[in-house]
Amino acid sequence: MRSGEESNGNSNLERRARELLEASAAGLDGRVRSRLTRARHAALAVQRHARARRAWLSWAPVGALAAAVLGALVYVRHGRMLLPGHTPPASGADDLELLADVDALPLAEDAGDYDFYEWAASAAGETEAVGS
Amino acid sequence: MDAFATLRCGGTGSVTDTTAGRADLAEDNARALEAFLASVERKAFRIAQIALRDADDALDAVQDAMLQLVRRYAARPQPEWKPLFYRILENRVRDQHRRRGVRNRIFAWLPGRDGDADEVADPIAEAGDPAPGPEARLEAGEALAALERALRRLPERQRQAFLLRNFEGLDVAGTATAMGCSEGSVKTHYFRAVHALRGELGEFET
Repeated sequence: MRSGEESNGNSNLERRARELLEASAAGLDGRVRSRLTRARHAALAVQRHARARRAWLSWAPVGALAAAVLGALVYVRHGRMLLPGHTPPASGADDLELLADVDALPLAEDAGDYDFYEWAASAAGETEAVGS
Repeated sequence: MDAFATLRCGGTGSVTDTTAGRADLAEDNARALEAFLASVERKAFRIAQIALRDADDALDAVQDAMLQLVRRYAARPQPEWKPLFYRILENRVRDQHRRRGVRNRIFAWLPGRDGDADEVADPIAEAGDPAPGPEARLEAGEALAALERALRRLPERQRQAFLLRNFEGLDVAGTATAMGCSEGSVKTHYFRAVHALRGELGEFET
């Protein structure tokens, strides 16, 4: 840096410029001052919301742990149900599926048809036994 | 469950005490941030207004700078806030200039618009400062207007260096951070700015 290429800020020009600019900043009109105040408050409100969100998220690991424990319990119970020899109990979902099956034979109200179905079922069982 | 019990008790310390302590720190930080923004907003507005020649654009730039500082740098040490704030402000001013350039090119064909903002009336500059006596106010108002015209004629980097060092009071290191350049460059820009202003305004005797 060449000598002289520095200023100590105390020349008449620098002092006078500083005085004028500071006076102009102090003398801002009401509209501008009001806008600046609102801008400051809006920025600080953003920070407050971000802080609140961070506080809420700090509990996320606890929630994740609870969900993991619950998921493990469900998995273990479901796994037990799939062990050999374990017959899952009939659920209402099976009945609903049967009722919703459009290809299923219509339920007959005539008692005579029930006798026919019973005979057909027993005949089918005998046929399988012969074939196996 | 043991895991939940451990979390409740927070290990060796108290979760409640730690949480309350963090909340106090955050509250202190928020108060310090508010005090800082209140201390810089007027000068920041004037610096932006001198660069942009428009009060509304300057207000937008200052508001954006406040938001960005709070969002990105509120957790930084407080001595860093001012240089960072002015760095953001300078970027916003540059963005406004670019947007204005595009706008002027698009609307230059409209009758009565020549895109030259040099002669736009500046109510803030013409308002003068609250000095006693109408003659003193008029003289100060004229002096301020002359200073602003001279500042606007400076190259951007010289104007930045002069306003940040002389008006805002940033030291050389802080100005270098705000301008994104070396401390040597700051000194050079500032020296040249003073030299150019002296050539245009004289010594600006009171």
